[in-house]
Amino acid sequence: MSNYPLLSKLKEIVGDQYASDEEYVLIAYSRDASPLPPHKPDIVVRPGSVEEVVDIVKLANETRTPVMATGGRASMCGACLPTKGGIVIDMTRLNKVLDIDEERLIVETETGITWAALLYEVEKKGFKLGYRGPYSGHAATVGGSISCNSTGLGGAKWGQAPDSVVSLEVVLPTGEILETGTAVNPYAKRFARYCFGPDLTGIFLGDHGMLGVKTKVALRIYPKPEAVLYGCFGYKDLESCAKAFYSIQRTGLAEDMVILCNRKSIEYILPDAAVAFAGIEALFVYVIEAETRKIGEAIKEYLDSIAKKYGGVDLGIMFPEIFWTSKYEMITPLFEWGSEWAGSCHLLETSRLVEATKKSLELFKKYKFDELGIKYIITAMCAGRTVCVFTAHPYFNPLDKKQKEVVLKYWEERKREVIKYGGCFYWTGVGLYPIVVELLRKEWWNTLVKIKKSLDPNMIMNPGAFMILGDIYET
Amino acid sequence: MKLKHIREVLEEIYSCARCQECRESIKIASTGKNIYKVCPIRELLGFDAYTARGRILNIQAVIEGRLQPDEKFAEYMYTCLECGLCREVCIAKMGKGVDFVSIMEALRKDLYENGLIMDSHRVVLKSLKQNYNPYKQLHEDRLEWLEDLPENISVKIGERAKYAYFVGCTATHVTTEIAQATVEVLSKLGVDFTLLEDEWCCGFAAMIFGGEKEIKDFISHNLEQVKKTGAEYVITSCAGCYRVFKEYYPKYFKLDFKIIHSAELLDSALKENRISFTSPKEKLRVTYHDPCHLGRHSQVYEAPRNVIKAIPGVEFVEPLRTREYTICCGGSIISSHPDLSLEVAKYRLKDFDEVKPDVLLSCCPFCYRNLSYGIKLEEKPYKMVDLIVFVKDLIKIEKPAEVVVDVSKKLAEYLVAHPEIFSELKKGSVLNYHVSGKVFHVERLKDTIKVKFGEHPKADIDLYVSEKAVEALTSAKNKEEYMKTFKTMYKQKELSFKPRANLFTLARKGYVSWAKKAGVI
Repeated sequence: MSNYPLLSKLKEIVGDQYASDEEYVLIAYSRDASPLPPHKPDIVVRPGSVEEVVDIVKLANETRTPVMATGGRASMCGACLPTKGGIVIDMTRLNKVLDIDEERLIVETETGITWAALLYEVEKKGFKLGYRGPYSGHAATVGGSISCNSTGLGGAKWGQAPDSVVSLEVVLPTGEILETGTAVNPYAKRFARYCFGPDLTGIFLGDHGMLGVKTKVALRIYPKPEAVLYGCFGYKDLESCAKAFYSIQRTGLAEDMVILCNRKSIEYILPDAAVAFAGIEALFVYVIEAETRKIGEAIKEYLDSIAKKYGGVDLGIMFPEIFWTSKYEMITPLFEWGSEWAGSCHLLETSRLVEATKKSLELFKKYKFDELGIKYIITAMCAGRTVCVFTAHPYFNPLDKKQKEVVLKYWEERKREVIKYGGCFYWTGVGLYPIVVELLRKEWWNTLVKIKKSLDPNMIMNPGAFMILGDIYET
Repeated sequence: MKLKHIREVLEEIYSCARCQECRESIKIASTGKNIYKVCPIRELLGFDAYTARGRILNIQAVIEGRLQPDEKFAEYMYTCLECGLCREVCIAKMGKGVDFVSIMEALRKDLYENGLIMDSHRVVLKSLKQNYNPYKQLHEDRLEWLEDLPENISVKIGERAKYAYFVGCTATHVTTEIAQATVEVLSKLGVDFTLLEDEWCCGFAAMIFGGEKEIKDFISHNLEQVKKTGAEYVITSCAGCYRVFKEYYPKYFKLDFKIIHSAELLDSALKENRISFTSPKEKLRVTYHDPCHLGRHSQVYEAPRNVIKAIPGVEFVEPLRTREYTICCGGSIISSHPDLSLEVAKYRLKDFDEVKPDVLLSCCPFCYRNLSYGIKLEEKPYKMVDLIVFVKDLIKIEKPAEVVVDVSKKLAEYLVAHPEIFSELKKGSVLNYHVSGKVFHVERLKDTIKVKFGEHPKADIDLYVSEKAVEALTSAKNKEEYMKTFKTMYKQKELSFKPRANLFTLARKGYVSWAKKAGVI
């Protein structure tokens, strides 16, 4: 087999051991955590500096080769799949924490670091992160998460991944290095995001790597709390549970919150608990982090009173404590029900939780999930004070052809349904773009195409995530 | 390529959720587990192909006909250390983890049967067939190490005895001081032991490349040899032999003896007050490397630690990555990838640099060999010693003394008398009780419970009970009163718990109902 044409040039840039076109290496980069079919890159490179990233990007631009920067590659809709082949840049060597500034309360890091690694480094210095990464934070990188608008831990107080970002260093598709936020001032440090004009940082957040390669990021940090307190309440119906959940979320006092929206979700996840808590149809947990125990206890008393006002039964602190002390380990175990899933997490007004749950259950019924033994959970996390991340995931066994066929068919309908009832996916990818193009406002697309064309005239960067942009350009 | 064995583990292969936990998880801050990155091969070679997920994706490509395995593919697959850390870190299947070791073993059997082993494996295979050891050493030389033993030690060979000492190929031919020390210690302890008349490789060397027929042949031969001695116990100082005897021998044959590691033998002697230790000549800071085959694969963590901690004048320090999250020494790929194997050893040694020991101990000739070589090359300021060699001259024979009844024993005995306390828990549930610096564990059996002193490495939950709580709990007349007291003590912070298993596992084992009864929730 002949080598990939750019192999020797890429090896010159990153060093022999950091570029490979071996088949077994390419196969390892051909899938994410979604049920989408494999797409292999032509070559994988692992740069160790921003200068190397610049050289790779310049080479890709000169040769009009598709190039995609990837992080944890555990996305749920093909956001990191190299659908057009080309170069995959594995960013995980760029994983150094550059500075933890105790005065500015800023951590500056390379983007290939995982959330768990960053959390470890920050906590060692006595600080915490705001948004703490997606549920896959042992693998997900900071760069990957801010590129796909991730939601996850700490979302109730701190919102989504981009909300913590102060400033970026980005390698543009033509090879220039762009600094954003206060770093545009060569005399200033990274301490604020909005200055001198429009928010250029924001353009690159959620771009799925199609506008540039993010190499450095500055995030806000906070003093590590003295007290962590928990609450868990069960309800005899979802309506009361959802009202209590939203009332607590709106206070902005909880660090994190998760709700299980129906009895079956509780039984699937916690079969023992379901027996122990007979009559509970829905439950939620919350986490408080406070500067002092006194403050924490006062907050807990207040939040508990809200929960009880809607008829909540106090289920103790065992669940939320385990939830919060085993961060990033709450989703993967569920794959016992089948190692594939059809993710449709999306942003929704929290006030519409009940309606969304009903719709999900109707669709599950239509596709006869219960009869086919397909298990699922319906749950929601928070993305700020008023928005939730609504999740209704079925899981299937890839060796069960019937299950696979039914769930994949369901998935296509589900994605359309979500957009049509007003839900908004925070992520995209090859599994979503055709539906998005069809249903979203054309002006948004046109503007996106204009930005893309001006920054990436040769359309080299991540043509997969927003493949339609490449197609429009090509036609 | 004909796939036979890999088809037997299809469910396991397709249970990988591709979540990437096996890539570079750091779980110290997120979960409190001492996991700092996972596969040393991935850390050294970098690409995701070297993670469990990357290898599984490749195996799936083979199964689905998208990839035709060739020698390059085989060489790549043989870089796996089969150390099992990825399985330990994996949280799929409700936390049980994908059994990647079984997958890799099945793949290697298929590679072997399709003629895709590496040249270095062929050399090992030839040596195994000619000399019954992988080191190209003459079989008739296998007892040469006996010549250097002190004169007062006599060793039975192929005679009847209660214990049969299985020396293992590495201690026989490479690290003979381990074999000699083991025999000296056995003699000192007055153990009635014999060597096998004709010991062959335990099968480990064939297991590495997937030679299933050879494994069976070797096992069959060694079992015949053990049978001749009538031994009730086979004792070994090799972690690899220990695992093969414990895990593989029963797969093929019914055993009528027990296998024990020399560290376990020492630990038992200590617990029975039959031995104690004298101090080394100078005070030493000592650390310990868990061999994968003794630790992760066989769950023996406490015995060597109990021995080390019982030595006066020794300060015991653990590295960050230890016990079930330890990093392999690299020894298992020494024949196929010697350079990489050594790089793994150097990578592992960095963990010990941080704790600044005088001595690094372990319980395996493979680990000893590889890590010692790394220490020499890197000119580390500490030395590597096998545990049995380290304690050889420090053992003092004691007369059995009366066991002091302590408070932890009081609680343990109470629980034994009241198994109904655990009726909500499912079979297989395990709780570690920490009382006054001592640990015992309660395991739920089908209709009753088993209480054993020592920490269970796979416990679901750790309970920390104060002496005051022990007094209160053991005064309870029945379960109802016990649970009531438990609740009171919990509220008074006289007892606390720390879950080890995740929420899903706890819920499946009945802990939620149990905790509810106990007033914890």
